[in-house]
Amino acid sequence: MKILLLILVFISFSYGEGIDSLLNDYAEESELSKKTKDESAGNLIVYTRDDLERMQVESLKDLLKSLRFFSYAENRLAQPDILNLDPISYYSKGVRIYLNESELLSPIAGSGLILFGDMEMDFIDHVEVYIGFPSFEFGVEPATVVIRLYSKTAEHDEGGRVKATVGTHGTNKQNVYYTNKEEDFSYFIYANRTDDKKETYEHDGETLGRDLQTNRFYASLSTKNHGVELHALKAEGDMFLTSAVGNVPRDTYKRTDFIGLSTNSKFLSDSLTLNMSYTNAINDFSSEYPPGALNGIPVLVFPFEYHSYAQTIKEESFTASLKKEWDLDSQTITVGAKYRYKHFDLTDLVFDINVPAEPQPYKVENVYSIFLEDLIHIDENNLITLSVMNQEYVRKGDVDNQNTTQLRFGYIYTDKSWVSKTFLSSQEFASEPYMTVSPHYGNEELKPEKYTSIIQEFNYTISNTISKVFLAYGTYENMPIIDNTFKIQNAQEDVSSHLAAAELTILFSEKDKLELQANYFYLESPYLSESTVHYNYVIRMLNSINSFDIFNELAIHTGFDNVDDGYNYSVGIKYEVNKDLHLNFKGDNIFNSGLEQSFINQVDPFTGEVTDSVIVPKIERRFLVGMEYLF
Amino acid sequence: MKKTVLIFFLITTLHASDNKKASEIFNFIVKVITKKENSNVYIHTNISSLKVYSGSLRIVADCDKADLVLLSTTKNLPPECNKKILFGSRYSHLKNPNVIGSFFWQKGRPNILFYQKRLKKHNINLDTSFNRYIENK
Repeated sequence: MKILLLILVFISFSYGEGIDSLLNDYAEESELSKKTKDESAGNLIVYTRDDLERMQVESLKDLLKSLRFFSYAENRLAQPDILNLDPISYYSKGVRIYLNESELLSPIAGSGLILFGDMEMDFIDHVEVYIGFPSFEFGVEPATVVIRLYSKTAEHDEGGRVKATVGTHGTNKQNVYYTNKEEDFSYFIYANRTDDKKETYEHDGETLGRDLQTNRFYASLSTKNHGVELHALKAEGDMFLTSAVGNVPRDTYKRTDFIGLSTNSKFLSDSLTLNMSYTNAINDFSSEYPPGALNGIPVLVFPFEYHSYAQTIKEESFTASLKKEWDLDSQTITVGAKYRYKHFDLTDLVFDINVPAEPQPYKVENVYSIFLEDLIHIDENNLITLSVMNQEYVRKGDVDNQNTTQLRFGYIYTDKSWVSKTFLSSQEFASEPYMTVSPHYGNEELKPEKYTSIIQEFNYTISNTISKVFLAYGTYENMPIIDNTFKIQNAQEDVSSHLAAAELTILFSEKDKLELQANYFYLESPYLSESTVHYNYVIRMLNSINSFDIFNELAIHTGFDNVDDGYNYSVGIKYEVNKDLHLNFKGDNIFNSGLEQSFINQVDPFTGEVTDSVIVPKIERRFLVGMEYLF
Repeated sequence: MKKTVLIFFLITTLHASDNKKASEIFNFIVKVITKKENSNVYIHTNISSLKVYSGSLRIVADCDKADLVLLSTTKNLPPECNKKILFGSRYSHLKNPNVIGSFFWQKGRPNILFYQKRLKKHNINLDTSFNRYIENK
């Protein structure tokens, strides 16, 4: 009742303030993120439509580069991998990415981040990031981080838009969308072409590139209770350093053709949901190495010398998820049953020398998953969440099945100023196919990894200031590591990590805000060497002056291995010429002093010490100018 | 009475609050145009926020009795409505030269736009707080 009174007071107060204020209040109340976000689902960071517009977020990596605890990173194949630790493992496999209700999945890697971590955001309305083992409602399989992307809708984006951007090195992007709402249905259609050109890097006389051309099509059709979406992608470009440690490639090429089809339906007053999705991807990789490039150093990944290889990886998945919610007097119970079919084929692999083909231990994995979540409403201020989820991974062939279980307990306290969230969880993660099926580095005997964690978050809101403190501690059993024959093994020792963050947001006015963030990340090394300890600081300012939106961000990263501290300063200015025409300018890492990433090139075979590395910026310096025209 | 924590209470009230805000804006605009506290409004064909919260507006079933017509579509508009002041709820409604203004969503934000010449045609003077929402067309 108190809150109702507050809302009414707020409404009547704003009514007296004129049309500007009414519009601003309405924009805030109607923000789509308010309808989709779930505070009880975990530790949440929301980037609203207004944030994305004013920050000029061109691609997902513009958010990931300054995300709490992380900095955007790629692997040796120039694929997004924000937790990149070694040349083979894909540590970001627990980072699950969703477009509306369906997961953008790579069946072989576990996470679709590898394909979609730097996708353009021109068709996205808002983004939610759940950090630290969020609710089991989201997916079939457990996650360490969930990134939820929500596409634009006819409700808030009537009509169409064309956008064109050009930038450094000839980078260019063009896209168009059109959306409309009829009496009984609405639709959204989007097409994009991006030619992302980057700096090239000379190493051992060869030129390394990270260019990527992307063509994307997305369409959705929605009625009150049902929706269908089609998502198609063709991406091709350079493969940077490739996974062949010890060799600098002369020429590389990668290409992905992806198609996804998904449906979502709600029944029984939205209490029963059925989501289904199908994905199919064909990934081509090829690289060529100069003759004599091996230079006497053993090739560390493959036990033979070669000078070119080409591989086609085929992936396919089908997911069905049925969820029922009962809203009882003092609790909300949700039960879900989910099924996922994964198919992956890595056998199409050709070297320039005659290497006998090795069979793949299994090509199909069926995942059966069930979960139960109980939200117990103790009183107006206190909520307890109890969750349990279990998966059975059934693998064809002679490979052992895996059974994994996740448990989660949460306590949330909320009042007018304070929110406190406490989550305790114990979660097992099955080994992903890429870790087991490769004849070169895979290991069929891998055991599931197990995380045990406690996370505490405090939010304090008073007038126009929001303060947050985040603390987490976790242990990690059976972490996958690379042994000295470059095969993936479970670490013998458990490793622990702890994380802390403090954040302050000051709203000077409705359109002017300052965000200050400091966070700390510590992870023991599974290799019994030095621990990973790094600190990130972000100062972000969003201002609007008349027809100008101004964005400033300084991200400071310190303590990262083998590279200097990074100072990434980005700035953006957007000018509204009129309601139909907008012009924008953006500079990323404008002082070219942002964080770099070090990739191993040569290792001393006797001492194991790294003797040569390739060091490149995680986010390159670039300038973009663009225009948007609405029709 | 259900026990409900604040988070869930807020989530469930969001949609209601949305409609209420939209209704307040329509009410405000109609009041500024007609200069009446309680205007007669004809809705063609359906504006959901006003269906739930009509505020001080009197919804009439006949265009002839209306001070103003609010549009959810310009299709199949009864001919007698064309003599009235028309106000749209989508940007595309402004393509109809009889529509004096519109309250619509664009780029994820709610907008209001009036065309000066169309206001003059109906001898409508909006108060100065609306200056930024009037285009010289």
